[in-house]
Amino acid sequence: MELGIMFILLVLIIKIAFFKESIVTALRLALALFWLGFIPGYALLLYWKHHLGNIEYMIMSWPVGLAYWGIFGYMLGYVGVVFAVQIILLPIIALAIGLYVIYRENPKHSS
Amino acid sequence: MKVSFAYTEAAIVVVFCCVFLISGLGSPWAHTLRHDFPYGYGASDAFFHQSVTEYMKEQGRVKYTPPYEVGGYDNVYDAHPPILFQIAAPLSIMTGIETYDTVLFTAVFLLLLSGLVMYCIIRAHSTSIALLALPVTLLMLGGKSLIALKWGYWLFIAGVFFMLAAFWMLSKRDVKHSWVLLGLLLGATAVAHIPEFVFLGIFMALMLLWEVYKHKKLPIATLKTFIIAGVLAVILAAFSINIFIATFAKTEGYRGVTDTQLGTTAMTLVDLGWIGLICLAGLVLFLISKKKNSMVAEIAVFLFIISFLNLLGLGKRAATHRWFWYIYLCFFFGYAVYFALSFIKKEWRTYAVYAASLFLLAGFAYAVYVPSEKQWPGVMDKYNWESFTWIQKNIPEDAQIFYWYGDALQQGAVLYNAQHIGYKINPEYIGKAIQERRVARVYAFGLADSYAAYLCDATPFSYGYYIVNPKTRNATCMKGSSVITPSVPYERDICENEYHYFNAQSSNEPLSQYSLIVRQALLEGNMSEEIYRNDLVSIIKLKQTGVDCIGNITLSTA
Repeated sequence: MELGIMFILLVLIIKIAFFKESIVTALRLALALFWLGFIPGYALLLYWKHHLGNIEYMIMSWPVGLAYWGIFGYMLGYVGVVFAVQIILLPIIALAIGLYVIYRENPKHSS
Repeated sequence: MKVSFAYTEAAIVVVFCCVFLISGLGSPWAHTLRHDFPYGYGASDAFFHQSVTEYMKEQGRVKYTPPYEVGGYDNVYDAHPPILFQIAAPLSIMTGIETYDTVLFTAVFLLLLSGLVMYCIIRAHSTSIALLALPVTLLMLGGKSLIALKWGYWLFIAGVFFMLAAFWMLSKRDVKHSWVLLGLLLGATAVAHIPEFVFLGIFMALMLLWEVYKHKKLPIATLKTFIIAGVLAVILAAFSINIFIATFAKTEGYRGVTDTQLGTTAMTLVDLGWIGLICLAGLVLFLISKKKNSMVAEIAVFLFIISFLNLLGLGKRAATHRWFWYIYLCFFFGYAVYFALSFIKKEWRTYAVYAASLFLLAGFAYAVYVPSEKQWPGVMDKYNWESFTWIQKNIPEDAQIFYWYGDALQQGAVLYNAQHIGYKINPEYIGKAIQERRVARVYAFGLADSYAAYLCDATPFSYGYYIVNPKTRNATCMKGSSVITPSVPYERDICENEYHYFNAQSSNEPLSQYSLIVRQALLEGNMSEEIYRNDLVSIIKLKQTGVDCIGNITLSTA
């Protein structure tokens, strides 16, 4: 739900600022920013979610996600992994970490 | 009807984001995301970042620097902090938008997020103050602060963004396993811009000292968090730090310059105007208040002091932080305004905060907004851009281009877009020839390059340097000194240069007129041919180099 609202808001903000641009370009830009910057941060911050307010969580997902993307993308590039692979790999790994946090926090699975 | 504070707060933040993006990029870009050439670029650094991003996109990763920016050498490590390129290049791949657009978009987006991160830091103190402070960050898009964007201080913007995020994390250091996030954000700051990483280290050391002074004992938990986070950050940023140590730390290091190095573009307290006075009032009110123990005030004061560390020899590495005063000091502005609003009845105060926040947002937006038709398009034009694109495809890769006088062509990094080694004319030599009323054959040409050390692999396990520039046939990567010596003379006979690039017009009429006379002399010498032409640009190729190439032409006959 939060993710959906965030994405719609991002598309809306981009479309308003660049209203002469096609909706497809605005959507693609929002999707790229969301996938590279927001999703990884959102997933990685899940562990600390209870310590953050909703607005704070939504905002701080960006720097955390971009830090993760920037550092690990650069590392992978350094050893020869190209952007095309990084774009798929890194957000998926972050999502997997996030899902693991949700799994661990589920009372059924926490020891 | 009761208005939900959280929803209203979120709505104000969304409105702020819209207004920021419209003023910061929507209007300068005529509300489109795609352009035919770099639009809104004001100086060489901006073109440098754009050209590197384009090369990284072509290479599919961030590692080596474009050969035409380092005298023709392949596999020279890019010495600049990589994170901006690491974000902007994939954005271009995913969206199909050109890198010259995505890299500027990234810079503006990071600036917007910097304001939002500061909002979160202030929010820990008071949401109302944060809402009143947030609109002030819009002023980053006007006055001298705008230089950070227009002139291409984008690596610095990225550094400040991650530094602020690390400050936010420092304010949450008591949270369980905070070292993970702190380490990640510290590492990102190092990968984004090293000086901000150093400033964070100083702040953390001061925090520890303050806690020791306050509690008269060593804060073991904080110390442990800082050490583990610091080690993690250094590990995460190891590649980048390693390259920095082998390049900029050697060639630049401690600047030892007490001047701001920014000339008239350096911000002074006077530039803050009445905003500065309100911030000052906020600081005084804060100091006399009961709740003085606030991390946000410590951060604001620390960053304000940092911006004066040019006085200790840090030069522009410190002074550029003054451009960020509107973000650093906005807490005190919000504090002062909230103090004024505190005289309103308690049940109305929340509504007053919303109204004041929106009023300030509208006021500051009005102050920084410039309609699209009045925006400066930047130094690039479509004719030079078309010519650069033509050169990329039609002139042999190892050819060198000699650029005569043109407004855009005086910015060294602009020439990288031809993706060939480029030399730009030293205008003083043209002035001298004009004074002597003759068409000279020898002029000084400066090589367009951006790096002070050409780092390469001397062996599979150790770095070395290329030390002659541009590349010579027997140049090798060697351990030892990084000092680069030129392999070609500064003064060149134009008849030795195969490709000449001319602009028909510029803001300096005598210089461009003289350049066109040289072009005419080359064509009349019958040893050259015009291989490309558009409304502004003419490219001349010498059929043979090393022979007399200019016709019998003087300034009086031209």
